[in-house]
Amino acid sequence: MSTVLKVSNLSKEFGGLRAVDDFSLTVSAGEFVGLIGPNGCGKTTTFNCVSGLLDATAGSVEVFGQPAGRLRPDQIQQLGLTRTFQHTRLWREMTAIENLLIPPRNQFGLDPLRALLTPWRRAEERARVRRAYEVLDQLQIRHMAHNLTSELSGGQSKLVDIGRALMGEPQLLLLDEPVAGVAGPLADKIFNDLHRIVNETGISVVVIEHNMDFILRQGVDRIVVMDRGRVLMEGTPNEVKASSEVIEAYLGGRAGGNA
Amino acid sequence: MLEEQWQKWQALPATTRRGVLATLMLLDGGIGLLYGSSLLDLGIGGDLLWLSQSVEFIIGGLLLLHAVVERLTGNYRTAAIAAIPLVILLVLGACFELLFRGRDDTANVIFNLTSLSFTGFYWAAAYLSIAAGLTLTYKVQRFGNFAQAEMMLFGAFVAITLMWSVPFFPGVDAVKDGELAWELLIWACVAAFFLTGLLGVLIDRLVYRRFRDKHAIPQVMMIASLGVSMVLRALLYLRYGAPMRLFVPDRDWRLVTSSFQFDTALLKFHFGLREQVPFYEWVTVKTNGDPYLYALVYSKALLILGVFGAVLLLLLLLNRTRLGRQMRAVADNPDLAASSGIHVERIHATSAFLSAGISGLGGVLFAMVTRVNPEVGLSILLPSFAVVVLGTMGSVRGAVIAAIIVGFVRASSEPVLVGIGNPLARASFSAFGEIMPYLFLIGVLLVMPQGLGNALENWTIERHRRRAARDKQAGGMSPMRFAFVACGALMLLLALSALYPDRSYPRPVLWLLLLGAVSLLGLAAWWPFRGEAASGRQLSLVPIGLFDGLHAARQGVLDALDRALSAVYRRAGALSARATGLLADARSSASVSIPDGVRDAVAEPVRRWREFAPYGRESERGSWLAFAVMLLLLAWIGWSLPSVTAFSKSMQVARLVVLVSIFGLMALSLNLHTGITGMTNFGVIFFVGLGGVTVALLSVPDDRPGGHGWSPFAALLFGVIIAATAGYLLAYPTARLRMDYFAIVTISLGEVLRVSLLAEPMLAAGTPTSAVGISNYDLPLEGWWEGGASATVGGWLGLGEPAAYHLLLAALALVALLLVWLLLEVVLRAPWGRVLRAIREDEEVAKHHGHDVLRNKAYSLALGAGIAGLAGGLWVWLNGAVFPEFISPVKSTFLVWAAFIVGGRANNRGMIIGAFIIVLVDMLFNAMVAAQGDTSADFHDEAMWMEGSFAWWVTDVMGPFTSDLSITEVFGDSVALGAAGFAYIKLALVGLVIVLSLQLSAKGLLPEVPSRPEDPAGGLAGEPAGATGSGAEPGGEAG
Repeated sequence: MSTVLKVSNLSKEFGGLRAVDDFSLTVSAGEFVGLIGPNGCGKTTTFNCVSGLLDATAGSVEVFGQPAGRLRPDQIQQLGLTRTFQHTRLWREMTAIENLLIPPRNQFGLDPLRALLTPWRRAEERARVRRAYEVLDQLQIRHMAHNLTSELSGGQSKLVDIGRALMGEPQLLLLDEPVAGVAGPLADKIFNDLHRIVNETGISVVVIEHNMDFILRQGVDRIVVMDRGRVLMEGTPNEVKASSEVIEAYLGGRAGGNA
Repeated sequence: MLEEQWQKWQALPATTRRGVLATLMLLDGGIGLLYGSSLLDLGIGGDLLWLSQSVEFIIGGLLLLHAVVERLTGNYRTAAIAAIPLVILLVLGACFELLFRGRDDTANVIFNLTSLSFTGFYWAAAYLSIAAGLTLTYKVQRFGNFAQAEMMLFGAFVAITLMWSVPFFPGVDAVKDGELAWELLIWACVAAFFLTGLLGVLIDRLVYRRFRDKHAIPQVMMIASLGVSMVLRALLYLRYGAPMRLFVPDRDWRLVTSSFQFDTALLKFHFGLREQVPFYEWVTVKTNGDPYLYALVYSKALLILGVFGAVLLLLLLLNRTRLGRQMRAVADNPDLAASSGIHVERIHATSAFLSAGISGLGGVLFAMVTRVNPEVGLSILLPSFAVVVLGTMGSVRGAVIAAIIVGFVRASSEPVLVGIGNPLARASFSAFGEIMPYLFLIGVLLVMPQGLGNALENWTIERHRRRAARDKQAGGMSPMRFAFVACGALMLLLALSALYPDRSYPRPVLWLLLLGAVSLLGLAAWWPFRGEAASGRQLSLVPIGLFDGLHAARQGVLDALDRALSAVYRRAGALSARATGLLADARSSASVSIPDGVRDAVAEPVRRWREFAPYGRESERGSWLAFAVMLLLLAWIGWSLPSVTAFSKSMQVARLVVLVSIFGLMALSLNLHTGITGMTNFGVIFFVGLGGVTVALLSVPDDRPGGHGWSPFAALLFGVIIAATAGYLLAYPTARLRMDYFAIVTISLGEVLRVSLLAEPMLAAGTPTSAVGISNYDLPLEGWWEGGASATVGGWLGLGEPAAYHLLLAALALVALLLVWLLLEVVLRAPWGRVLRAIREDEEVAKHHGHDVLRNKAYSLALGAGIAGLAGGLWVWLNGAVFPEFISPVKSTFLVWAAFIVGGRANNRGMIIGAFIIVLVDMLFNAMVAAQGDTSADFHDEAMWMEGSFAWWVTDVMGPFTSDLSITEVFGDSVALGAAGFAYIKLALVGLVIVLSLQLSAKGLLPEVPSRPEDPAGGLAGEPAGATGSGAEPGGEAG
């Protein structure tokens, strides 16, 4: 299996704070990886460094074999990596369907000159709109297609966010707490859908999750546990579960300390 | 082969590529300046050549600096950032040297050092008096307040009104007795501080509080403040007129002897050819009768001391009191602050009071030094914004430092401009001094796109870390505190030495020494010098008990002040609550219940309308229908404007069409920039002016002075290209800035263009006599029109005489408007349009979904700027001459903003409606002005009524609060509006419309129509969720 993401010895400092400390991670094609850890352990910062939002202090990131350290976020997306944000950030004064039409790559008419050639009459645009509706269908929010996303509820927003990420046809999908604030059954369904997509299309997914019980139930291939910017342990859900007492105690102690 | 090299080049880091390009620019510009031949040489010659080469050289230098700073890390980076000013000076010096070497000429730049330092502080104080208020508003209320300069002017006019109150303060008529009278000055300062502060609170309550309640974004509040500034400026104009006025607290202040005399030294630089002269000379000059000695008039000293003193007090208040702590808490997180028991609205009011009050106080002191009129506002506001941006928005200490830097930039630029202007035959160059603050700001942003803030912040973090490490080791007194104590003690000794019989100081010096001693010692005692361990506060030099006592006393005083302020706010709050309640009652009693019959009759059309346009005006059909209705209504109003003959009617209609087209084009441009792409562009007139000036300048015939002899259409094309290029280039230094930086940079660029028109002889053409402005340029198809076409059209319309040229222009302008509108509709419907909207909504997310934000913003800026350039070309054709006043934001940018907000953001149809409304209002007011003296004309009665109410307001209502002298000084024998008065009423109205339409209907008359593509495979997509009842919960749980 080929490697889609290779993070080596990544470190990120904010002022004096070392948010990510010598973090390494390799993701192979078709893998479904869970990234968990307590608050402030550097999960999101890792995503930010990988997706080009932040410059790493040290270490390297390779996306599909290409060094991505100096690339801008849009260039990294063009390589086939899409990420979502922890706090759902939709384009609020636009309709749900239009939100889904932005990420597809290689659209015709993305600059003012080609835009003059009435690109909305082309077959590819029609196919794109068709696909966007299909994605909304899959997520069962088709009836909201023509609403502004500022009118959607929190759970619906999460679904549109995931649909939008899928529209970019990523080979590697980084999801930052995709089901935070989503009701239990719907959360399970979202993970089922993700599994199906991984199986059908062979893309890789890395998902940040806060709730350890939940992620252990979801049957991911591998779980990486982070703490204070470092990898605490890495293994299959069963292995993590086996040492779960240690981790439980650890998380419990931390949570008490933080509150 | 070539491909391969290109690949290699692309693989290099961006900073390296940029550095190489910058070095090439530097070399090319330098060689060009020295030997006259460079890449830019092709095609252009004369003054434009050396000018563009200098610009190339300087920009190359700045870019190289930027690339170097980007590449460095750690301490080297800090050192490089600290060295930036020096490097910029070196680049400038090298540029001058090469320029004058190349021209075989000499330039002498002479700095009078004492004058330089005092002038620097003087400008710093003037800017700081606004910047402190701006910063406070940024900190607590989080928006850029464009009405801050009007607060300063309000303070100045409070002082001037007091000066005219003869019975109380005989300041103007007092004899010159050699004794300075302080009474009026002190009263004026106190009154201006409190009255301006109260005005600030009032405006905060009336305007900004509602935006806060609606959780409006800062951008909206910034635009509202633009409206507020227009209203305030218009009111000041109406009451005090345009003449420049000075505040004279006592005639003795104006005496030549009322000044400190100082020795000075001259620093002379000689650029270019030098024979027997070194590169620089140092000449010291003694006080004894030398013409170069420097006299600092007391009023200037007072401005410096007063403003810096007030800002120091503000800093103490912010850093050392409970009130300050609460303000910082509110600034950080209003909701959290509210839940921890802070009265957030009271804090907002306090902040509004202080920020307005300080500016008002500054206004009094400023008006003592320089004559002011309401127009002065903008010229101080913009440099103050530069100060705020430079000093990290929201940091008062940063603003103080930045004000000093910017003040010195301005002060030191004047000798340079004079020194190099004269040998270049440009004596008018010193006018550029006014815009140096923004050029400096733009230069800094070129080098550090994130602004100084980022660098300062990193540096501060680093410093704190080191200090924390050091503090673990040692306590004791910090060197800063020791320096304060030593200086204070020295000043005290000097002051005390006046007790010796043979020594005597002028009284002001004595006071200044005492004041300085007290404030330095006080600061040493109270100032929170970091780096001292807790025990270090107990100074060994001064008895501990004294400080403890002082500390307790200060706490008591501040608490009392806090309590008093709270009491005042409680009262004011109760009053305003009662007023709001009354208003609400009135509103509810006024709303009449609709009779059933009417409701039934309306039901069917309402149902049909719903069916026709399910989202009302927010659907394509509904929007078009509403547009058609509004357009017809406006056209009917326009048609029924009064006119005398058929010919004048045709002229009037043609003028209406041209103006609607020009303003429509400008609004479309603004809509693309701001409504669609989300970049707050306050510089519409910059792009319009670029296009207009280019068109006018190039189409002046060859046989006239400064003429280039282009055909008008070729000139128009070139003007559009120039404007579009400027827009494109502007994106790179500015588009990644915060949006409020962008607004400030664009509005400043307009001023740069205006001053250039004033000071650069290459931008004057057309008549041999005129020193500024462009006139007598060719108009498009004028020959063809006058050669018979006009008579034909006149015949068609039955005018009985040849039709006016305006008709042809109207046709051209209308075609231009329709073409541009069509073009925009097409490109915005394409994927590019939705990418721009995504950038508007959240550019970071747009980046992560694969779109190069910077490039798309650059395209958007270029296209919009090109459209604005086209509007500019049409406008100069309509006007027939271009003068610097053409580039006045009040007559263009602000009106276009009103059109944009009223019409409906992000809807091109709304732009046409908004432009139409603005132009109609303008024409209505013109008709009223024309009807003033003519009893038979339409609108005569209305005009007379407005005159009458104005006079009643000034004399009967406000008269008792001001004085007779203040009325006769301004209006003479009779209070009248005059033509200018109507223009100001219009300005106030436009400002009011901006504020109200933001408050009442944030979306405007024709709101944005979201894109709702149907499913090509059919299906139930089209139905709105609201209609089917499968409920959306607005607001959601998204938080």
